[in-house]
Amino acid sequence: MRAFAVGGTAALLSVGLFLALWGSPPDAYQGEYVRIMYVHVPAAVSAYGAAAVAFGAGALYLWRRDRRWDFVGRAGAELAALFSGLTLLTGMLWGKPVWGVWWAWDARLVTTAVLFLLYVGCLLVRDLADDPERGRRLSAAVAVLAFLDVPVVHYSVVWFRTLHQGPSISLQGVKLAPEFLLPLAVNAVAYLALLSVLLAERARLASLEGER
Amino acid sequence: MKRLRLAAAVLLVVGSLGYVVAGGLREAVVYYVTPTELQSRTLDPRRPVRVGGQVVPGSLRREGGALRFVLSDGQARLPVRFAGSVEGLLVEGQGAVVEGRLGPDGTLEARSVVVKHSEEYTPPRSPLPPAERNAP
Repeated sequence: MRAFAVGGTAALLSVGLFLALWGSPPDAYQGEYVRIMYVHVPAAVSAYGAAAVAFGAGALYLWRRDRRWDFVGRAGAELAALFSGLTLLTGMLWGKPVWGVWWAWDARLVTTAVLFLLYVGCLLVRDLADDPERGRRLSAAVAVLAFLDVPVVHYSVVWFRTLHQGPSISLQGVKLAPEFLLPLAVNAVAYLALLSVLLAERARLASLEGER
Repeated sequence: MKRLRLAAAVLLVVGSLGYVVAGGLREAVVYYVTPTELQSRTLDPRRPVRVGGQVVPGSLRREGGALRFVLSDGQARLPVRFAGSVEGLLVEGQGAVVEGRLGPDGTLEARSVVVKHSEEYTPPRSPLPPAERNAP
């Protein structure tokens, strides 16, 4: 089962990378830079997913005090930090050639940076407390509150006037040509599979550490 | 009692976040003003402004080392002059956000020009996309 999940994820990521590099046309306006989207958007979606896992596990840990939820929560928080960091990094690499700047203080960028910092904080408070149980509860509480930032990040481009463009995929319609939609969908699924594998592995590792 | 305090804390955070999103900051968190908003404001000329709009097709030109173009939001138009070089993909018909001071003649003397692109993605119709046509 584990080998199947890891192998399947590797295959999906390979197909995604192939589609991103060779299966997608350049964009009429951005040219080849559009290919950064195939990492940037799946990374952001994975960050939302990891944040949702950390939220659910955190809430369940605060309620039930079952250590297993803490292992899952820790994995979720670490991966939320990882994928939101990757979102910021690829966003900067994309912004420099297309916008002309690495960074702008607009609502989308700032709320995403806040999301990253919230999960870094969530991981910090766990080990800052003298009493490990207190650290776990604090970390779970931060993970629950941090999740509130996810809808703010996502709708920031709708609610506020930002430099970052609005959503290309929403209930109002899809503004991506089908040639871009397929590589993006495959990469999003591949990244979510990667997130699932990493979550399971990290939670397992945490439980092995916890049993020591 | 402890549960009640936790619930109150959560409610406070959720409530203030909702307030910020729904009303308070909605007007304040704008990355740029539109040319129409710029016209309707009485501006302190010493203070820099950040204005965003579409680069009017046909308005982009070089003039004595400076770049000139007109920004529009569909209603008001704002002439812009920029002496530096644009690092982003500045194209007519796409968005731009400029920062600078308004001159006495109504031209914005830009200190920076940042490109804002649309959320639309299409394959190129012409053989080369603008990104490569403009490459040095």
